[in-house]
Amino acid sequence: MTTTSSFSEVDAYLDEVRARLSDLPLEERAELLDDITTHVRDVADEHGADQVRAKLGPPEQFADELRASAGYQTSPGQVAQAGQSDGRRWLPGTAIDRATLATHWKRLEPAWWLARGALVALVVMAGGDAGDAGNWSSMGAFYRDALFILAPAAVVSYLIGVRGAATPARWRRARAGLEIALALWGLLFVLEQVYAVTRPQTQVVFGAAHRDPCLRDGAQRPIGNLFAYDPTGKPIPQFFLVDQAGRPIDNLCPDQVPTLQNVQTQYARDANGSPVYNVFPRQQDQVVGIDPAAGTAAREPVSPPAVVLPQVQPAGEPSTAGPPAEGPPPTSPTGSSPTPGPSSPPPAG
Amino acid sequence: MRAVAEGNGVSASEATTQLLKGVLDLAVLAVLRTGDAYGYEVVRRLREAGLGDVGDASVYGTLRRLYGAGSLSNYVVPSEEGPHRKYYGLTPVGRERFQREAATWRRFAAAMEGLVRETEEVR
Repeated sequence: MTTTSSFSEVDAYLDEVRARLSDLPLEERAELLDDITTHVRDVADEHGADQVRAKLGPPEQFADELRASAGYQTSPGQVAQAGQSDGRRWLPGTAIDRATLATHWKRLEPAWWLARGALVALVVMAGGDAGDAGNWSSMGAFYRDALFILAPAAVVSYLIGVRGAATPARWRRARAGLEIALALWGLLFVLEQVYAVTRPQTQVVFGAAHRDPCLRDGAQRPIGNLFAYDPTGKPIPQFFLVDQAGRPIDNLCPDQVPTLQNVQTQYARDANGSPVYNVFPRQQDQVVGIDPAAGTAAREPVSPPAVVLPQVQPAGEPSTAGPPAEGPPPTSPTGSSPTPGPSSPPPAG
Repeated sequence: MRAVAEGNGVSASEATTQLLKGVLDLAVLAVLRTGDAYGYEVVRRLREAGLGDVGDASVYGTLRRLYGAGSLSNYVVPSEEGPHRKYYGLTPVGRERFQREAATWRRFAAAMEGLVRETEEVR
């Protein structure tokens, strides 16, 4: 009866009893366990290791009986089951005592088991960074991950919780620490999501939570400035842009255009000197070096794009074929116009 | 006790457990009055005396509590083959306690016996 397997059976039983008594003072617990260790081994020797549970009952019951007959206070777990209270108040002036907390925690525990599983999966997926988690590129990706990764992980964690295997005493502290860390990470993750959703002017787009939404073209390329030309191809030096409701269009994203990374934008100003953001084109200056005379950064305006415009019929006039006109590129504020196209004649009219 | 335990299945066993709670101290003291013993021995002797429903854990808890109250002393006897064994024995305080509780028990048992017999005769 003293094979390895029989001893591991005995040890497992003793581990579970020990775990159940973990709240007792160390010395008391050591004394109790010293006595019963011999006893459980004797029972195993006499009846066979596989008979230990049958002869002594479930380890939890054994531990509770031991505790009660030794005159110790009931354990939180035991109290939660029995619905009794040891009367010690945890918050003065309230009815919240250890037993109440234990009871409530027991009720909440299955929810934590589920959350725990999903959180572990999220941690693994995000490589540990709460800010990176939940950054799905689309709702479809979110549903896919939720269905095939998060939900199964939650279910597995729940099943582990339901099985209720006692943690050996020496791992209890480590496990509690891990679970607390996981809970804090989860809190951080939730806050991150709430922040991303509620941040002012943030368009709620899965996968774009960390990007400022701004004007983009049909290929999702960021727009950093806007230029307008009249039908003759002449750049319009200054104009307001509004949408169909008259709201100013001012949400450009020059900082996301690689070629405009270091520009400084000068906004048009109203009579009070306040910037007006929907006046275009915006003047954008790029740092090109140090001005040796002033000792400050030397800036140069960013050149407007060189464009070739198709000829269009003047608005409100019948379609008549006019001579083809190629628009010149707009002149830059400094007048250093790059590669000007042939000047176009006035449109037929 | 044995008769009660074997009478009516689970409820009789439960009744015995309830009764035992009140008298386990005395039962353990009584066993140890006849000689020092280690835990398993105490359990066995209680069972041999007819207290078949006594729980192993309760006996160890009781030993621990009586020891804490100064009624018992203990000493470890090393064993050559098996694990070492912790023997418990009565202290003078324990002997005094046994006398006191035994007297209480006799009065109680006599009263109960009288009560139960009386009502049975009435039926």
